[in-house]
Amino acid sequence: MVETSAVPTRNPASSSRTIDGQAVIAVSDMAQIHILNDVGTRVWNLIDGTRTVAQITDLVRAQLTEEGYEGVSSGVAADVESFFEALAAKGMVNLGETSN
Amino acid sequence: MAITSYQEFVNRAFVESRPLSAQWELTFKCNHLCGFCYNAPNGQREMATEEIKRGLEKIADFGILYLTMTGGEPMVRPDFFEIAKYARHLGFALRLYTNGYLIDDERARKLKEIHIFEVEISIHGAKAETHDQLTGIRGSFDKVISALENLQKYRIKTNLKCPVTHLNQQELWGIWDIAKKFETSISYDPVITPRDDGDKSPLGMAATKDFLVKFFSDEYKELRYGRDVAKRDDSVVRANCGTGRTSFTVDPYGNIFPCVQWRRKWANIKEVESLAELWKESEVLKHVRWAAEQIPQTTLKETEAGAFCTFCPGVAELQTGSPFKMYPQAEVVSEARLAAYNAKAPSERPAAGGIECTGV
Repeated sequence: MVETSAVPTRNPASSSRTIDGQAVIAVSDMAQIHILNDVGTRVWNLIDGTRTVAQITDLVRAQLTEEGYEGVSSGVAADVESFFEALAAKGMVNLGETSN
Repeated sequence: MAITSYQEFVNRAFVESRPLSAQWELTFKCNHLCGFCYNAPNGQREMATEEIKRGLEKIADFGILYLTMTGGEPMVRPDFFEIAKYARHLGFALRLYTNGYLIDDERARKLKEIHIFEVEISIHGAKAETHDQLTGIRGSFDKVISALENLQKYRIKTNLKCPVTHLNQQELWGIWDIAKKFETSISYDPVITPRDDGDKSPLGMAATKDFLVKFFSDEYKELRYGRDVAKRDDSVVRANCGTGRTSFTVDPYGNIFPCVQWRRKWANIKEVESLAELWKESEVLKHVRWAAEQIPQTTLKETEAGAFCTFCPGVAELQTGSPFKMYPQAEVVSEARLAAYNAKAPSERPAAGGIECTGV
C-alpha cells in the first residue's frame, strides 16, 4: 500500500529519456530497461524528489482533464498508487520518505 | 499505466530512424598494441575536456539515452571520470568499452559510484600467453582477471567480448569458463575488420574457415547461448543494419559517423548547431539509410550464403570501394553459417531470425 504523503524519488542508478511520449528508463543496479506508456511517463516525469504521491496524482488528473480526457477523475488515484507500487517493486523509485 | 515491450520500442526506433544510442571514441590512445585493432589515428588534436562536455550536452539535447565511452582505451584519459560523471549528470545510461587494464579496486568503486550501466571488456585468450601475445602487452591477461574480480566485487554488470582469431580459436571454451566464473556474459566476434584507414593487415589474424564452420555447428551451440544459425529476417525492419538509424559514432576529433564501421562523416560535434535537424537533413545519412535498405534486396540475394550474412557496408566500402560489394570475411563467415544450417535436418532448421547489428 502506497502512502499518498510519500515523496517518491527516482533510483539514482536510473537514466531516462522521453522519446515520442514514452519514458525509456535504464536502471544500472538492476541491469534493466523499461518503457512506460503515456500516463506512466507523465508520472515518471513529475517525480522530482519534492512532490508527494498525492500531488503527482493531482497534477496528472489536471493534465488529463485539461487535455479533454473524460471520466478520468475517479480512477486516477488508484491507478497512480498501484503504478508507484510497481515502480517500487522494480527498484525504479524509492517511496521511503513521507511529507508532513 | 503499463510498462511495455522494449524490443517493440527498439524495432519502432529502427524503422523510424530514431537514434537511441551514441558511441564516443574519447581517444585513440591505448595502452595495448593489438595487431587487429581497427583504429587509425591521423595525428589531429583530440578533443579537450570542455569540448567533450559541450558535445555531450548537444547529444543529450538530441534525446540520446545510451552513451558508450570507447576508444582507443578511454580510461587512459586523465579526465575520464570527469567526463563520465558529467555524462551521468546529463542523464545518459553509460556503457564503457575497455581492455580492463586500468580497472583496479579504486576505479571499479568509482564506476559503481557513477552508476555505470555496463562495462564491456575485451578478452583474447583463456591463457595469459595467448591474450598477452594478441595485445602485445605482457601482464595484460592478469589485468583483465583483476578487473573482472573488481567489477564483480562491486556488482557491476559486465560483458566480455572476444574477437576470434586463428591464435585464440582453440581457447573459446576456456574463455567461456572465465565468463562463467565471473558471472559475465560473453560474445564472440568472428569478423576481423581492416583498419579505418584501409590497411588490411589485421585480416591476417582472422580465424580459419574450417574453424568457423565448426564454430557455427552444434558443437559450439552453448557458446552461442543455444542459438541456432538462422536465415536473416528482413521482413520487419527491411534494412541490412542500424547504420544511420538508431545510433552514431563520434571520434576523438569530434567527427560524427553513421556507425562505428562506416566512416562517412556527416557532421562534427564541435561545429554542429542542431543534431536533430541534421539527422533528418544530412545527405550522407539519407544515403547510408538508403544503401542499408538496398543491401538485403541486392548484395545478399546474389548467393545462397547471403541469407546468412551479417554484411557490413562500412567494411565493404573500406575494403572494396563499394558499400554493396561482398568482401572476403563476410563471405567466409556466411558460408560457414550456411554449412552449419545445411548440416541440420530440414525439420530441425530454425525459423528466420532478426538482424544482429542494430546499433542499440
